[in-house]
Amino acid sequence: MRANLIRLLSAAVVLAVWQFIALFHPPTYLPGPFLVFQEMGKIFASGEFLVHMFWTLERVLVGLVLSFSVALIVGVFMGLSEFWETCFDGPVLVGLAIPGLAWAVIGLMLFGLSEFTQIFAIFMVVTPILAVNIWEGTKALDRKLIEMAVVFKATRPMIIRSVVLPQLIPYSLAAVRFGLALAWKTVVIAETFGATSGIGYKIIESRELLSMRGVLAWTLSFTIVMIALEFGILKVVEARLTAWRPKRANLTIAQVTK
Amino acid sequence: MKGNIEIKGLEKTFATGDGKHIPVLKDINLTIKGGQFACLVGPSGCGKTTILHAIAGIIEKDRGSILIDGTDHLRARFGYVFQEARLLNWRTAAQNVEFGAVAAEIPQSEIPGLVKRYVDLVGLSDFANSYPLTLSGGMQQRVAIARAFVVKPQVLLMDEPFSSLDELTARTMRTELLRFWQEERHTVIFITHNTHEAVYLADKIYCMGRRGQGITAEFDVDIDRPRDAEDPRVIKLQKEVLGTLLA
Repeated sequence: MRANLIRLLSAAVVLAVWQFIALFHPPTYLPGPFLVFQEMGKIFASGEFLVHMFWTLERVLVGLVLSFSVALIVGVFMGLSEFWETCFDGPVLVGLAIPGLAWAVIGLMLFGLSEFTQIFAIFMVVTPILAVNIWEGTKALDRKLIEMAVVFKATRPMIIRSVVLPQLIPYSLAAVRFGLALAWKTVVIAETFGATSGIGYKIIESRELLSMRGVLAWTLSFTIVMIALEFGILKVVEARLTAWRPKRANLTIAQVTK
Repeated sequence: MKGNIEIKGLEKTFATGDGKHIPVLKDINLTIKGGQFACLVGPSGCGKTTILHAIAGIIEKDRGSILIDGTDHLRARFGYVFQEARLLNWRTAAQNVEFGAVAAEIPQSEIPGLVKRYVDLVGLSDFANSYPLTLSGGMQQRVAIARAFVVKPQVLLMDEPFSSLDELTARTMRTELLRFWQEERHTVIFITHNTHEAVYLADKIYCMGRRGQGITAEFDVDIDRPRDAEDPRVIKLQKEVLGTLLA
């Protein structure tokens, strides 16, 4: 309760500072928060926001699903065998280092103004970070539990379903959170010059119309949706999937070190 | 009585990283009659756990044969209780017991009844739907014991199951284990380095020497249960076992 009050206050201070600075500039150069909110209302009301948000989200989701499928396989293999670890640790490290902008440019040159450009960029940026997480998760698998399952003569599918995958869930969720954050940053970059729709496209279009109001309105609206997605959906899914963990960290030391 | 174990000429050598070979088990011969509670006692590193691992098929044996009721041990059904509870933390207590039953391919229709029966037997009726991390160490080990019983094992293998519990809890658990066991009379091989525990629980005690020496002595325990730590026969036998181990 108290924490929420502090958050609210801090947001109010940020808005006040923004408004204060805006007072000294013409609204075409730096519009205040109210003008931007007004603009946001306009793009919502016209339905324009929903359309472009839909395209951006579609690219993010397709990219993430492809990324996750590949990263799950690569990460699990890397975690289980030294051979695959050695095969992939190079590409993964290189992949982590290459900036998203570069992938967006390469995608544009390969696929032109098509969906593939954005999806390609997301895939190339997000896959390495997802793979690293799942790789770590696989290495951290509790082999004693697998030994237990083998002694009790559990079948291989049963071991994967009931013993291995549940242990990978926390790592996968963390990976998806990172992945989502990276994906939406990447998609907006890729859309600024490689698309004719989407949030990034609208941001760059507003710039061409010299409308700072538009740039800020599109950026803010999109950010709000992404935060809502993160807290409204991902957190809920996470809470459901990890309900077996005691609330808060009231584990005893003995349980943690075991 | 089922659950007869016959081990003949069991050998196991481990290779170390630097190319040395360490013979842990050499020519182990052991016959345990169905329904007996056998304790294997010995110092750490003597190969007690290796014997259990070989019986359960966790490791491959180099030589020798292990027969359970006349057939190869790899086809037998085991209940296993480890030193740690080794529960699936994302499943409730009852679901952990169920895991054992499903793995053992017990007919689907019998599983709910059996799970309830063993959860009740180990005294966890009120915690059937609790997740392991919310249970105490002793309660977690009770779940593990229920999981071992539910599979209708031919042999129950227990590897120092109470050694990570505090002595008070361990004491209660020993008494309880005997109570569960007296209901079902499985063949039990129970590993411990605690001579008191061995004398309290076992029908038969096998002492192991240092690594590679194998089984150096065996004792029959003909004392009625429940046994009393103050009973002179218990004290005398405990001394003898300890003497063998220290020799």
